Amino acid sequence: MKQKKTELIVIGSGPAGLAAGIKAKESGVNDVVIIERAERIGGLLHQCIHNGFGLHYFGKDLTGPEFIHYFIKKASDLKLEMNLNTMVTSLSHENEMQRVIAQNSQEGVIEFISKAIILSMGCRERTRGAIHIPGTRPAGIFTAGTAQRFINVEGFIVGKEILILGSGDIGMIMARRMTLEGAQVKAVVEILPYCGGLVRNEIQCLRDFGIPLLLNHTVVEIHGRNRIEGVTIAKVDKDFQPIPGTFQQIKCDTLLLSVGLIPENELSRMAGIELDPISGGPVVDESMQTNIDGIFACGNVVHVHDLVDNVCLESEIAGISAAKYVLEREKRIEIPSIKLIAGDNVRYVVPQKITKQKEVTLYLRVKKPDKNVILRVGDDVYEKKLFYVRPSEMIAVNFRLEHFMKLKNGTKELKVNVKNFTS
Amino acid sequence: MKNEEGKIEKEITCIVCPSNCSGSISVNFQGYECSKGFKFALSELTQPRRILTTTILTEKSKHSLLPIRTSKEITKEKIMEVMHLLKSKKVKPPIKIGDVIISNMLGTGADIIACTDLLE
Repeated sequence: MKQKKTELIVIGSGPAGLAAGIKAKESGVNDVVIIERAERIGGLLHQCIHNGFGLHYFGKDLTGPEFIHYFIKKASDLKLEMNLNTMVTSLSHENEMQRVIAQNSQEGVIEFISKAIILSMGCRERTRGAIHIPGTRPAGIFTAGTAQRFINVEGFIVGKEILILGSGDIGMIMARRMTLEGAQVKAVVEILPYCGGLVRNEIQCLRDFGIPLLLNHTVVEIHGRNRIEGVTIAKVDKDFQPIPGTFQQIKCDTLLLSVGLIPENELSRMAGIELDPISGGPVVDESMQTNIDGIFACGNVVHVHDLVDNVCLESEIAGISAAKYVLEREKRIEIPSIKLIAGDNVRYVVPQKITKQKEVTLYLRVKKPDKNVILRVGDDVYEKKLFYVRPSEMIAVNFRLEHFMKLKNGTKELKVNVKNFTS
Repeated sequence: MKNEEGKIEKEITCIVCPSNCSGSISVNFQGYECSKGFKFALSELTQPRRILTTTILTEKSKHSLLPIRTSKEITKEKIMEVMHLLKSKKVKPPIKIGDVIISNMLGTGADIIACTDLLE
């Protein structure tokens, strides 16, 4: 098989991979090789034709294609090597080098050897099978992202009478998109007692179009033989069990599923990278390095973000760190690292550990919505008041040197808590 | 925590009868973190506007669609009319990101612009 030796490989060319690869090149790495399975670089932003991207990163309100255009152009200007239509099938770490096996129909199987790797494979959507919706298995059931691809890239409307399960951002965005293209969206059904996406989307995608948001409800059965004809929905109790007497039929020819995004870590598992079961991605330190020297990760593969702006900021750190590793061969110093622990009402914190006393942005999500809270890191280290916290809105904590100063000697763990003022 | 607070006054002349009273409405606002907040709230009260993003059909291109957007917010009531009109339009390469596809769409004052390059 063909062999290619290089300095840095980036797996996945969405905003994470491009931001990281560009930064690595700008930081002095000459050979940055991108491996991308699709036929063009840019990832999913090509199909995210709505706006709301770039508010923090560029200070502008851009659509997905406009946002990624900047990175695509920069990657091309900096001459990052692109391997398109190329799927990575294996990742391993041997004798202090990284080994990637990939294939495409032009070159066959290729073996890439490099000093460092940046994992930026993003995430995939949870499917009907994974959540076991009972009923028949007719056509017309799509994950919201698949429907988005069909409508915005391929040019096909996926149906006329739509029901959407899950009020995550992609579900709400598609509710609006389908309505604009002339379909009738019957309702968005959400199993939790609160909306799963950004408040701004609840307003501009559902309320604006009079699309009902049915909280505490779920789909309990799918009907139809060749094509879906309808669903049965029901209200659920606090244990998410359907409540008898609340069942109702909704006629539809299409069901869109927006029931969760899962970081894509098949390769990470294969390479023996330590994963965090709650965030769904690799355990990383403040330089976005995994437990394997020279393997970095960034973007949705580490934890699912809400804003692409944060994906790019995080990925630039990975790019700078990977460059440092390649150029200086900076070995990881086994200093006692500080573990970040998710405390009260915190689902997870990324990065999961800090090894250096330098400024770092901690990203976290809460488990349940709350109002008037204090976010605390450690006992007296960092404190911030917040009016609202929601699971669907990631919180960023800027941990600065002044906060490190407050750490007691020998601190091994820092707990992050989000508690109500009044409690 | 910043908390923008204040009053917005809007003069509205009544057109119901020939008296044409020139009065005004005063609205108290609070809770917005920056000055964009109350401006948005006032616009929501008087004439809600939104950015419209959609796609347009292409011809003689390798891609089936070009993503497009309005250059600025348009009133909510005009949205479906604009969507309907765009259905019948087609574009062909070469187009660069930011190019105006249709200027002053339906008198909204907003242009329809390309969100990406369409070079082939």
